[in-house]
Amino acid sequence: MERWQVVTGTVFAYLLATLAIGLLAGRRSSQSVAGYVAADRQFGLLAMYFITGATVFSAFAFLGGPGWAYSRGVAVMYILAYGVLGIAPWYFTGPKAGRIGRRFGFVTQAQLVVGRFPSRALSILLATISAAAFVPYIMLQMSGAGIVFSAVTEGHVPFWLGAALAYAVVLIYVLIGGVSAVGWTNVFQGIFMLAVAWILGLYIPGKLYGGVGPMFERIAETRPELLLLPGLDADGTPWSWGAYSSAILSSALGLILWPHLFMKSFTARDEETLRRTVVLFPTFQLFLVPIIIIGFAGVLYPSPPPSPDFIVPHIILSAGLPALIVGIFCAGALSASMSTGDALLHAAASIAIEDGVAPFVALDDRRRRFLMRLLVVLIGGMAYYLAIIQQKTLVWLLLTAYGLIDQLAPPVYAALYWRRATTPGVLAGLAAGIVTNIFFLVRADLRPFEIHEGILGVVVNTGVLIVVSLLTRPQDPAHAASFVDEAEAPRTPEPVGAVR
Amino acid sequence: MRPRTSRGLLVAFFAAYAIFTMYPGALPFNRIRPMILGLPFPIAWISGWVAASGIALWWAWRLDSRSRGEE
Repeated sequence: MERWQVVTGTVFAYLLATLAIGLLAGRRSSQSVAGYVAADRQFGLLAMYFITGATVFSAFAFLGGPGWAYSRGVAVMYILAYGVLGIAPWYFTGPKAGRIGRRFGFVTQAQLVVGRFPSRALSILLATISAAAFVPYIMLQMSGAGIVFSAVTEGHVPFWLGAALAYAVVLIYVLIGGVSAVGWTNVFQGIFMLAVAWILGLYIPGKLYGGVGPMFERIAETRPELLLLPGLDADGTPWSWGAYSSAILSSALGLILWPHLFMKSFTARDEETLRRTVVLFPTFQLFLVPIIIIGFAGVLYPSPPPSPDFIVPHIILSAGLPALIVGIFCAGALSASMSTGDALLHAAASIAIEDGVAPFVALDDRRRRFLMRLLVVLIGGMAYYLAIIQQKTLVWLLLTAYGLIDQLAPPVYAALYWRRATTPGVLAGLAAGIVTNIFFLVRADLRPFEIHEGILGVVVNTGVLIVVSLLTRPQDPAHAASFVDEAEAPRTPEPVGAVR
Repeated sequence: MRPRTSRGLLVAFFAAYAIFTMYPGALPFNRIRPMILGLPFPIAWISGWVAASGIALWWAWRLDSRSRGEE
């Protein structure tokens, strides 16, 4: 058997295992919308832990992370630094959002915000932001799958077919199993990624340079600039501290506001489960260390890859490693891509229906489930099409996505923590934040201290939210208290899209 | 309900985390040597903060679950 056939066989075994787990898990959840979207709020600790980890670590961490280490040195440490900082507020916010969600029957983040600040315009705006941010993120995951397949099978499985194969499997289990399938496959994928990262991270430097220490000693002699913070910019010049620090801040702020992660607070069995997930999160974060080490192994490697994102496949292919190792790496990278992609697809469709359609059109449970599945296919198809035809604007789109997601922070935190916030304040702030964000995205040269446009947007967003809220009529104190203090609501507001 | 101590602990810890992993707190620790476990100092420094955050969160969680037990 030829080398690439062993590799492809390993990958297919992995895909079949994922599919089997997804289909089996889907049979466990109930037939309601709450069952499809929020898994009957029944995930335990082990599942939540791997689901969160596997969802956070996407194809970007597995391919982009080493790519950064290779081309930009310790600048890559920003990825390691922001994760923990981003998840920490969740220790308090997650359980609180979960309690409020259970009480009012919320299944999406926007329902929580609109429940506190009733406004159709806000609902549409939030649904639009989520959709705008999701599509490029899904495209990135699909491209990751395509890159891995085409690189590792030496072109026998082309980019378009690789992406299609991986996401056909994702579509099948998301359509049939909903969030239960996403959850249980992520448990499997999370464990798999973790094992692959540590094994390869220690094996590759050992095989090529005689260990991690000797490898870094040689880099310190030949390329010391790679080992000093804040690392290098994409063009090889030193990166600025402003850009490095605000990259950490904007990613940390946005992390739990990604709707697919925020919605996890509604799927957890109880708040203790959520808290423990946060407590265990740093252990998952540390698994990036071996991945980064693999990227540094590329610095001393005699031949350069076609692009930095290809550094890991490049080393693995040209270093004469056993075919089985190559196949396992390939499956690990696919895990990273698919475990984020499935959650994104599922959340994008859920949000489009719950926040974009359900508030305006009467839908029964059955039609809602049907529409949700239809949208999973449509969104998946659109992202796939875009991923195939245009890869060049991907980075630009992804940066837009992060800045947009950051703008959700002021509304969400105001809904949960600030009694005096008003609907006009939140709307005005959100609009101002988005405009600021887009302005500095387009005119990057005008950014003060090279600060990320998402952070600049959040500053304006928060300022406008506070000023306009203080200038407009306060909310009914009992209504505000039912969110901020979690007091008993005076009368149960009709929650948008309540299903229980 | 929730004790103030765990919140105070976490806020203080993550404020320090933000300062020492970014500008300007990371500046004094920005040098290649000493290497720790074979890792250049900046990599070990930030990884160390991540590991420490695991301990801080675990500690806060212990405080919380103990105080919940007493209620």
